Amino acid sequence: MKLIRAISFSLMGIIILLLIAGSIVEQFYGTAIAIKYVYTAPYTIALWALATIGGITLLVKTELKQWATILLHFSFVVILAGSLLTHLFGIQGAVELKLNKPTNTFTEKTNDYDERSFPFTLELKDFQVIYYDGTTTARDYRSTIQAGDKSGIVSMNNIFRYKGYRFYQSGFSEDMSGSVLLVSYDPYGIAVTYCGYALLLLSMVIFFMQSHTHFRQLLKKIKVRNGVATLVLLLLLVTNLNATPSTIPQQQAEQFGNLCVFYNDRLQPMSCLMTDFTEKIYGKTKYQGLTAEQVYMGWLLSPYSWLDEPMFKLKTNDKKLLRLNSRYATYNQLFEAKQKKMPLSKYAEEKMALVGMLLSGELTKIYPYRQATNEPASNHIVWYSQGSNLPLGMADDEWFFIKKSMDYVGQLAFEKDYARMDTVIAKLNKNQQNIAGDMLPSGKHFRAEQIFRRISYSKPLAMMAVTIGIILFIVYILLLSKSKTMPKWLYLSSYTLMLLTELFLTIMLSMRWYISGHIPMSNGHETMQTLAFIAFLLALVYPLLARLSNNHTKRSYSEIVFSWLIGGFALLVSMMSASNPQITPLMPVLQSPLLSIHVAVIMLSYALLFFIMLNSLVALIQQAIWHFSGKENKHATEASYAVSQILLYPAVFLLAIGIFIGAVWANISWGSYWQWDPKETWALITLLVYAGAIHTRSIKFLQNPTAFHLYCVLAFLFVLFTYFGVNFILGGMHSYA
Amino acid sequence: MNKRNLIILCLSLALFSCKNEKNINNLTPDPEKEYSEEYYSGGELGTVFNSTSFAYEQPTSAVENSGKSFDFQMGEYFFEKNWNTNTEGAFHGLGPLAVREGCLYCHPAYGHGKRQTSYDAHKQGNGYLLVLYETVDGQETYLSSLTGMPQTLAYGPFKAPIDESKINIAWLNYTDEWGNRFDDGETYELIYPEVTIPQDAYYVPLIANVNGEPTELTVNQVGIRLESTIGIYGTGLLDAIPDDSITAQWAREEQAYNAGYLKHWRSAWFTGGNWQTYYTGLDKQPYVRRFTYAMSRGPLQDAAGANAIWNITNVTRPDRRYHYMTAAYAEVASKDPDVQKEFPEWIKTQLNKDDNPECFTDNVEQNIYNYLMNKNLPVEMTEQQFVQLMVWHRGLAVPAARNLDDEKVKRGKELFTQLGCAQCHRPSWTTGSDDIHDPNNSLCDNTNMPRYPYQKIWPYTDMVQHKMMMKNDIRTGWCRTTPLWGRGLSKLVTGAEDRLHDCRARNVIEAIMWHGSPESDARESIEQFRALGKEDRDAIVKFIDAI
Repeated sequence: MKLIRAISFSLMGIIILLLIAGSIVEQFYGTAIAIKYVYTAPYTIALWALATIGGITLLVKTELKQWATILLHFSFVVILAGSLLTHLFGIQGAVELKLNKPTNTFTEKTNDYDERSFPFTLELKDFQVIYYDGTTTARDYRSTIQAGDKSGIVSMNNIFRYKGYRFYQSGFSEDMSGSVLLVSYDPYGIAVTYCGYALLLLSMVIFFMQSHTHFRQLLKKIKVRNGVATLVLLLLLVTNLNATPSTIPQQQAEQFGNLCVFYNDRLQPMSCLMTDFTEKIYGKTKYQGLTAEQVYMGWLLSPYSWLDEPMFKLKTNDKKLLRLNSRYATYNQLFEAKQKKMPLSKYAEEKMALVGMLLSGELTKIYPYRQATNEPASNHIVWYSQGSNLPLGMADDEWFFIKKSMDYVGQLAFEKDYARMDTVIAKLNKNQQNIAGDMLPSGKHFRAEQIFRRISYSKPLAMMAVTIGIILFIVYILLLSKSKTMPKWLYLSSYTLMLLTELFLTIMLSMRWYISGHIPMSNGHETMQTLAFIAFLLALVYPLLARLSNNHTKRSYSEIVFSWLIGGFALLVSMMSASNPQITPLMPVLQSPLLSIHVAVIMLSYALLFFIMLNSLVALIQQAIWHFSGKENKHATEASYAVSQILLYPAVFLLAIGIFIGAVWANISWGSYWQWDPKETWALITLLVYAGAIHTRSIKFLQNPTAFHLYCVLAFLFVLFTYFGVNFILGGMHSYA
Repeated sequence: MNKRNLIILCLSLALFSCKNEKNINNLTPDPEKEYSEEYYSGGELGTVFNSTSFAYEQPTSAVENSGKSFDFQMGEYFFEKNWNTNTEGAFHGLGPLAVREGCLYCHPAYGHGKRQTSYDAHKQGNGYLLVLYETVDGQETYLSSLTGMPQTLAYGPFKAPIDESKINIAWLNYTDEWGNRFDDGETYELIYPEVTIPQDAYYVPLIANVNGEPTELTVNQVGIRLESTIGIYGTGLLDAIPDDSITAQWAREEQAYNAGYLKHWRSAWFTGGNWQTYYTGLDKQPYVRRFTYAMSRGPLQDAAGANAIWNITNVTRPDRRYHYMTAAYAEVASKDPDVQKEFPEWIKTQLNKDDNPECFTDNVEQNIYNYLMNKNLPVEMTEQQFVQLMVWHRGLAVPAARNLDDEKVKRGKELFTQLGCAQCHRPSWTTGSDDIHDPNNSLCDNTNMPRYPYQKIWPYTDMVQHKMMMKNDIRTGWCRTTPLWGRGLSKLVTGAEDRLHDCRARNVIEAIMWHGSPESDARESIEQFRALGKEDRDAIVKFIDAI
């Protein structure tokens, strides 16, 4: 028994080492080689199989018969079985289709690029490139294909399925004569793997609900149940939720911001579009002291004076590509890179396209036009921009107004005749009122949206919450290790601050709700803010509930600590998604709500692992001090040991869930749930390393608190490497994350 | 500057339409404020303050002032939409042969064509026309068996005179005598096109007048060049320059040639201060040459666009009820058994037997020939539509200059003049009374066209032909100085800034350095340009981008 245990856990250790080796091999010899000779090599599969058999044996023989634990481990067996099926029967490949030339072969994506054949013929009927409005930047590729007796469309966000084969739009032939599709065939693996994920989730839920688990015993041990119960509740909630460039003066720019624009399929204040534009390009809502409105008007009226402004915020890869020292490139630098056909990231391309849309006039739809139709009144109004193709038959003055009023503004801007510009803006405004008065958002609504958009509260709020959370947590752990609870004054002051924060968030969220007309949970940004709202709310109402239930146990006030932390991190994630507002329909892959959840869950897990590391570090330092002072506080040692262990469960579970949500998302987006991308591999390594820490009963040396703390501190290096190191050293498709 | 006129005009407009919210021009510019008049590249009537990607597509104030905005819109419509082979409905009448199916293919965003690596008539941005001529007697006469703008598209039973898929455009590197390098180490690259078309790509024999005699040529005796479109905006303003101003400019430059400042002079056209040859249309009036690289045309109403709408698409109109076609092609096609087989059925869909009995006789070969060379075809574009197209053509505004107050731009302008660039790229002209001339069909006149009387405009051309003596130069080597106005916006508008007649220059520096061959008229200027430091060279580029 002991032997089996030793062998099984050693095997896992070897697998971890193999995975690390694999990612290094990949760096030097490419993904294909790493997959062939390391990740899916027969010896690796054998190791996994042996470790699995060992694990099953241990589980069967163990005296612990908790079926949540058994189910949890069984779900991993299912996931591994699914992977094996995918490995054995799944095929990944690519096919290049030429217009009206049927084929039944494709190239398998292995090291040798084997020819494979479909059990049907595939034919490209039509191929279109769809551009951003008014630009020549491709937004999407759309192939109409005929497979056997079924025809359909493949595009960036539309997968075509036939007889177990899935087709993804990948690119197009150099000469635009055909389309390149990704082929994915995985008849059994996906279903089995997904079953595994579902089982895993189920077993985690049961695990937290079951009594008598190691987790529960730990909780009892340090009597922090009240707080941790809140924490668990919150965690469950998380998993369920979804030279100065030339421009016009601020005053006139602001007046433009007060106009209405038809943008993102609805009428909004221009200032919102202007803020989105500036934030999307520069990452901030001000550029060199100029407001977003001024930046937008500057680009609109005198773009040439902006071409050399370093304001296009780049991702690391683009920065490397352009050999820049700064994170910011100029339009001209990006333009030149594009001329040289450098492989700029989609992010940089999107920024270029956004400027293209602005310059083409497509973005500034500020001219309502009442069509003569028989349709209902709401359909009478069409919103045009200066660059729109205007319908024939428009009255002369109306046509000229749309065609020329912004040119006149341009002239006045050049002449610096702002008094007259005010008059033109007033006319633009009046024109909107006259034609579309009944459609325009009400004054209150309009102001609400403007004020709302202008307050960029996400960042300071997130920073504040995270800082408070971390400080409270450290204090809490220190007190806990001395078996003390939080002083009342600290609790009350942090409670009051949370109350204020919650009030502010409530106002912001209700404004958002009022403006958009739907629950603020439609995208990652909103969802995370709502999550923070709930986290704070729970901590705020908790004392009332506790009083109601007549709970007289000594309170540790842990709920306030964890709520600050969770709320803070939720706000942090919401802040990250806010700096990339959705203006253009680019990268459908990155727009899925699954992505927001994936990021948020992993972030939370990393946050918890960070606290565990801190907790362990503090414990180690304390032990060192005791060691030298000759004193020892046995209870404190045990408490900090327990705290780390308690936090490990949600941390590891969240990491597992996060990875698997990522896998599901990748499967939808790229046709494969696991691609041995370095970040994926390293997330798996991290998961396995921390899973080791949970198995304190099986891994004897971890039962020594000092060894355990040391393990937790060192294990965090894996998190750090996964989060930061991979991007810088190994690259891969997560390089944007 | 005619500020006073403008004030009066605007005031009257303001009185006229003070009730109308939509009239935006009822405001007068502040007479107190003074700006460099050069900002108004197209004068006060022809300038638009717009730097967006449709900066070349905007109407002038003259369109509004003349109440022609509906005609402008219709004209724009004709320009922007593709034509089709239907015999009725909108945009019908394409073919039987065509150079392109619509105007925008060659004029991306109304601007200069983009450099191509193959010849595809369906590719957006391919502004190339093929130029084929004999290389035997030094006259470089166009082939007579092909139309001047050779067609590569054919419809119905017909076959294209040239199979465009076999046209090969190779881009070769050119190293100038300085090794493509400035003394401070900065380098540049020069490339030029070498076009070849194999024998089997031609459907027609290769015939040209050699020493006055029609002669059949071999492939090796045919020279092939590419000529790209340039921007359309501002042509109305160039048309408004008085003939005698242009004549005076030629006279001045003839003196400069006599004094040794120019190496080449087109004396066959202009000697002793007098024109030896004019452009004449159907009205037999002598007009000063002003449009196309070859300066083959006079007034705009019978120049580039007025002709292109007919000969690019082969859409007939009241004054041209015939095809853009050669007898040589008609002969080959009429003898082609494939064409003969399909023609009798097809022609029934095209013509009415009663109107054109000559295409319905018992002799198919004769019918085909009669159809292709017919002078009595149904009208496909009406007079009114043609006038509307011309309103639009004349009505396109020039984008205002930018950044002229920038110190570097100012320095660039100073150098541009100092180096002598401004000798040929003459900065400004003043338009005359702008009376409309329509040499061919007297459809356009002062009443129905937007006009630009007495405007100071800044096109940066002398309206004279010069020689740059480039490798694989334009046919004959003579080329009208291209207007530089608005070109600096090209990058923003069309996404490319290719310059020169065949788009060989990919940026301003390349374009400048192509002016520098030993026998070029601009040689001295380029030598001085090379002597400048990088800072100053960049200033000139920045200035050219600003105008």
